[in-house]
Amino acid sequence: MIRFDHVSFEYAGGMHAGVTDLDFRIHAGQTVLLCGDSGCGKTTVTRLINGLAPHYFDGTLTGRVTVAGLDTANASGGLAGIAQHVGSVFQNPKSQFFTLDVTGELAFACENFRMPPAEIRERIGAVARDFHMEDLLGRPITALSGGQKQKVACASVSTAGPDVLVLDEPSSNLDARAIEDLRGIVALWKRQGKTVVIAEHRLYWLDGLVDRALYLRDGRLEREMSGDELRALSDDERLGLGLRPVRAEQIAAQAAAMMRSADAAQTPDMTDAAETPNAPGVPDGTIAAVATRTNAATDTPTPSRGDYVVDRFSYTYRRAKAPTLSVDRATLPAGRVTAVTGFNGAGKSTFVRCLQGLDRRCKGDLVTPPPDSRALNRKARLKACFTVLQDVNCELFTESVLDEVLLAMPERGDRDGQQDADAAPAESAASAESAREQAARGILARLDLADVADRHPLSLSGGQKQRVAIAAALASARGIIIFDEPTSGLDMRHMRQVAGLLRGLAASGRTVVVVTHDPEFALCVADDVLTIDHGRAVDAYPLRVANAADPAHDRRDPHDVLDAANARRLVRALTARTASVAADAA
Amino acid sequence: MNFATSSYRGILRFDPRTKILFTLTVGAFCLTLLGGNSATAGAIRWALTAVSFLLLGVCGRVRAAACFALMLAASYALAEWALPHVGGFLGWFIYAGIGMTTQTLPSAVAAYWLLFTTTADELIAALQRAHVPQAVTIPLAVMFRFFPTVTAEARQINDAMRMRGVHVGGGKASEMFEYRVVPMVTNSVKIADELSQAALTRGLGASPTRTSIARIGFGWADALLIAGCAACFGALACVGFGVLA
Repeated sequence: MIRFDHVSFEYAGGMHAGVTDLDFRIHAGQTVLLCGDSGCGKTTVTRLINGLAPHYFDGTLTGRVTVAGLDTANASGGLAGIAQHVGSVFQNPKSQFFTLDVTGELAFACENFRMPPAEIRERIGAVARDFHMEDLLGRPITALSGGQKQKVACASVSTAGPDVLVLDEPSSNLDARAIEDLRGIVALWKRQGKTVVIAEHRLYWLDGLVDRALYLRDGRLEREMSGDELRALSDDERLGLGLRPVRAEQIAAQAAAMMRSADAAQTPDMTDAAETPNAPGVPDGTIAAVATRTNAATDTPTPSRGDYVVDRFSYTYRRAKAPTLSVDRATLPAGRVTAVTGFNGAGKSTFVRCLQGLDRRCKGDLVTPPPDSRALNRKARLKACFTVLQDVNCELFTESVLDEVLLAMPERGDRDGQQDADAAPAESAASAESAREQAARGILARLDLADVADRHPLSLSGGQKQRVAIAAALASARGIIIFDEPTSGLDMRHMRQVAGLLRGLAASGRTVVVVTHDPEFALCVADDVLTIDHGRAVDAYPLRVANAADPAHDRRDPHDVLDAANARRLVRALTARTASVAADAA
Repeated sequence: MNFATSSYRGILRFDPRTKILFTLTVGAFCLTLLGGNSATAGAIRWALTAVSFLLLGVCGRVRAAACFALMLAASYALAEWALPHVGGFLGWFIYAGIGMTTQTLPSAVAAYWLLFTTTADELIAALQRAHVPQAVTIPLAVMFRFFPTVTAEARQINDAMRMRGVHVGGGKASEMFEYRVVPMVTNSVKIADELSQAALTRGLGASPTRTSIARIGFGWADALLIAGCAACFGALACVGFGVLA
């Protein structure tokens, strides 16, 4: 069905890495996984199959890509000709819809192919039945959750009935339930005899569906595995390839390994066995060291500083009678990382927006830890917390990385600023300004961004942009730093880097709150877990507990021992559809 | 300013082309005061205004229609009883306010009705039937698709700025504009780029015309409304020829 004959593709302008000498066949009816690090060429392979390369992305193509008998580079009708055979689902749910309502979206491709309206309506009905989404028909797309949007995206390529389906990181923004639905859809396509190609970082949800896996590195096909071989990979081998768990049960088992690497991040003289084989090639590979520096460079951590207490948070939508969010009391331990988990639409994002004080409709206070125990109202929280948004592109405003950090830094004389402790009031404005710049450069150095300080933020890689946002959070000198889904669409190595950075922040005395529905990430980053469901805080438990009595742990952070039972509880809640969070709490 | 997201399935259904004709007719007579001060034009205005409010009410927006009608009535009441007794600046102010309300409100109501009862799909399909080329309809479709996206982006950017104290009265007001525009433009470009990829892989542009599942077409209601609009213009022509006053 799909044939790559010695295919190389190089993007014009060299903005992205291309692929080199790919030679493989994918037979009709196979489900094939494309895996490997970010930038390994997975996405390029999907673009070569759906024709976006070379028809949309300019570049030099050598060799030949044949899909359903069509030579994609010279297909009659160009992209539209290929589109009749290949359906594509992309990563970002906010930019793959062309119409405003679900029905129109399902009809879109068929309308383009000039099918008669009566037939289109029939197809929409059939697909909606197959996908169990009759209730979504006719609803506005903006009102759907991320999971529902991805379902609509899959359905809308299905209506035109292509033989080949190409999915580029479809699960990036999805929670466990939505992923379960996505799995059902892929299984359905497999039963229908479609050829499915999936480029993906999160792998556990594809367990049992994948017939073959193609492992790419630096644009080359490095390894080919059957589905069984992928399942049978030993943990060491899998980590060596930089792959995330391929079976749900590996996630909990991996927690122990994650702990070891987290230790390595905290302790300079320990090397991480899992990271070393592949560390080169990733420019941000020095994160363990970065975390250590973050730790060392700031004030010494004082363990157990009490808890921030959320006091009667509630949020009511306009025209709604009952509040959507209603959290009477929840604790956020100071100087630790708290993961806020739950399904899409459970109220996690509303909760952190309230915590940040962004919304006027949100009621409630945040009480600081004793001894001061001050109640921070909404306006006070706006200055006490700092949120790193999910889409960091929305918070890069200025013309250089340094300015970005300076913008977030409190003005001179700001009461809440810790950074200004050394800036004596007698100093002239000019020297204060240079002191600010010094401090900003110091922060950038800690995050490994010193050499890009004068570059434009938008010219950086995704990972670097995220670190610029974290640098801004550090510079803000605020006690609570909130992260909204910081790891959607990251490969394992980058996910661990982010986890290392967040733990570094907590170690340097900040209180970190991170929203996530990714169990792998939650396990490697969190000290405590707060579960939100239907706008209520339904569960809270520690993930890492003090174990000072154990002499083997004396060199480590006191909050260092993973509570195995709670780790399993977290994985159960975040992977299984059937595991009702509420039942678990009872 | 968004289109309806689900098609209107009530009793009084019109083809989008009819709705556009009606909205333009109301605009011509009530907003641009076609027909001047003749008695016939005045009667036409009253009739068109009444029909606009009626249509909005019938399609389910009873409360909105009633509110607008009340506003209009209040304006006329003010003009009748209050205006003669108030002079000077305040009088001028009231006079301007009333003029604006009475002149724009009927057209606004008609436009509201058009948007509220028409989905973007229906509009595009109707324009296609009217032989408007894809070079016009596709950009139009993208524009409507973009409104909600841009609003959502703007909200996020606004959040990020408020966290940094960049807001009105936050001491960094001068940067407000620049900081808002830069990420807005770059994000919009990125979304537009991804959107085109998604659309092209679904066969947009496969052929010069598309089919559409939007249920549009002319019915008795359309005939009635079109006849009404034609009558308005006919009456105006009669005034021109001196048949009517």
